[in-house]
Amino acid sequence: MTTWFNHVVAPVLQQHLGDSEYINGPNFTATDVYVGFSLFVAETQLGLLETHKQLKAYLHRLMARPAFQAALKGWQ
Amino acid sequence: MATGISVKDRRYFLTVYNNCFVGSDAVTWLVQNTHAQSRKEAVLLGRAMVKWGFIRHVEGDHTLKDMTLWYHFTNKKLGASAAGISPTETASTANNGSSNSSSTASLSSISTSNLNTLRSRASMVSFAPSSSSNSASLNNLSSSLSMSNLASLASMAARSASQPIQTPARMTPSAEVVSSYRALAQVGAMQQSKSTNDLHAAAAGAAASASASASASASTSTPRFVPPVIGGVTATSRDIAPFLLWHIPGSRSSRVLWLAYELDVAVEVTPMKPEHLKRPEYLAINPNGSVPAARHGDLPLWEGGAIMEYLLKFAALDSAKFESKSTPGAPPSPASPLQPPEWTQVNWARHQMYSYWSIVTLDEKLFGFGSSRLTNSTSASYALV
Repeated sequence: MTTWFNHVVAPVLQQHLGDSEYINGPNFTATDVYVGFSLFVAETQLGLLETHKQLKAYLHRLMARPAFQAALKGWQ
Repeated sequence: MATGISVKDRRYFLTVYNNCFVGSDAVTWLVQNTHAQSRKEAVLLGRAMVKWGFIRHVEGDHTLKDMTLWYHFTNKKLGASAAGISPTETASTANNGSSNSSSTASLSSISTSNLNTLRSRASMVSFAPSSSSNSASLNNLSSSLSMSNLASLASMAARSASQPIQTPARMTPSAEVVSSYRALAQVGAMQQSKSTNDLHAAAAGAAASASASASASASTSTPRFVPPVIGGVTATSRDIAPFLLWHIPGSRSSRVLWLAYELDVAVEVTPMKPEHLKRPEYLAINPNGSVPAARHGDLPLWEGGAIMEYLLKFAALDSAKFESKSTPGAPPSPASPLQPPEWTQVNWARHQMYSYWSIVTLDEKLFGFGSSRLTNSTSASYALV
C-alpha cells in the first residue's frame, strides 16, 4: 500500500497540483472534494502523507474549509 | 407576501437598496400565514421562489435563507410562460419596471393565491390507496410530491377553475407529506428498529391517515401529471423537496455531505451505522447496501460519484448565485463554479473506474456480492443522473 501510494499515486497528484492552491488551479472545484477525502483517509488512517509535504499542505488547505469541518466534524 | 412583510429602502454602508425585505422576515411570514409548517419548510418554499425568479437577493448572491439578508420581489409573474394563466394575472398585464410598487402588489396577491392552490392541490391528490409495505409508502410519497409542484400552479389553477374542488383545511396536506418523510427517515435510520413491524406500522399509519383524507378524490383519480416547462427548465417536484442523504459519519459518504455544504444545498442527513447497511429496510433504499444513498423528491440516488454529479447539476440550477451571472430571464448557466474542467472529470473518473472494476470483478468472493448486480445498479444510477 505504501509503495503503491509513494510511487504511483503521490507523483501523479503532485504533478497535477504543481504550485497551485487546488488540483485544478487557483479555484476550488468538486474534484478537490473527491481527491481531498481520499487524501484525508490516507493521512489520518494510514499516515501516508508524512513524506509528501506538498500534498499535506494541500490537505490542510482543504481541511480549513468550513464545509469540510461541518461534514467531518469529530473526525479530524 | 409583499404586504405582509416590511418592504423598504435599506442602506448597507454607502449603498442603498430600494424596496427590499429581510430573508428571515419572509420565512416568519410564510410560517405565520401557514404556508409552511416549519421554518425549514418555509426556506425550501423560498428557495423555490428564488429559483423560479419571483424573489431575488439584492446582489444575486444567495438563495433564500433564514438570515438577515436582503431580497427584492422581481416583477416576474407566475405562469406567464406556462400554458394556463390565472385571471388575476391577465388583469394586470402592465409590465412595470423592477421594484415598482404596483408590480409587487400584484405579485403578492398572485403568490399568495398560488401558495394556497399548491396546498389544496396537494391535499386533493395526496396519496394513492394505502398499503402496508415500505416501498408502497415511498411510491405514495413520490406521487404526492410530483403533484405538489410549485411551478405548475398556473396550469393547476386553470384546471381547478373548470372542475371545482373543495377547499381543504389549511396545511393538512403538508402535515401528511412531513409525516411520511418522517416514516421514510425512520426506515432509513432504523433508529429504534427492534422489529421491522414497528416500521411497517409507522409507514402504513402515515399512508393510511393520508389516504383517509384523500379517499374522496381517490375514486376520481387525476391523470398522470406532466410537469410544465418554464423558462426552458422543466419544473419538478424536487424544487421544493429536501435532499435526503443516508450517511455513515467519517465514511466515504462524507464526500457527498462536504460537497452539499460547499454548494449550500439544503440536506437532511439520516445517520447510519455499518451494521445497518445490509438490513432489508435499507436495501429497499439502496440495493447495493452501501452509503452514500440519497433521495431527492422522487429520485433515488446511489453511488457517491453519481450523487456528486447530480448535486453539481442541481446546484447550478438551484442557486441564485449562478443565475445572477447570466442576463435576467435567460436560462440558468449549465455549470456551477465548482464543476471541474472536463479533462479532470474524465481522467479522474477513468482512474477511479479501473480500480473499481479490478476490485469488483477480481475479488468478488472477497467482497461477497455479485458484480453483475452491483454494476447493473451502478450504471443505472449513473443513467438517472
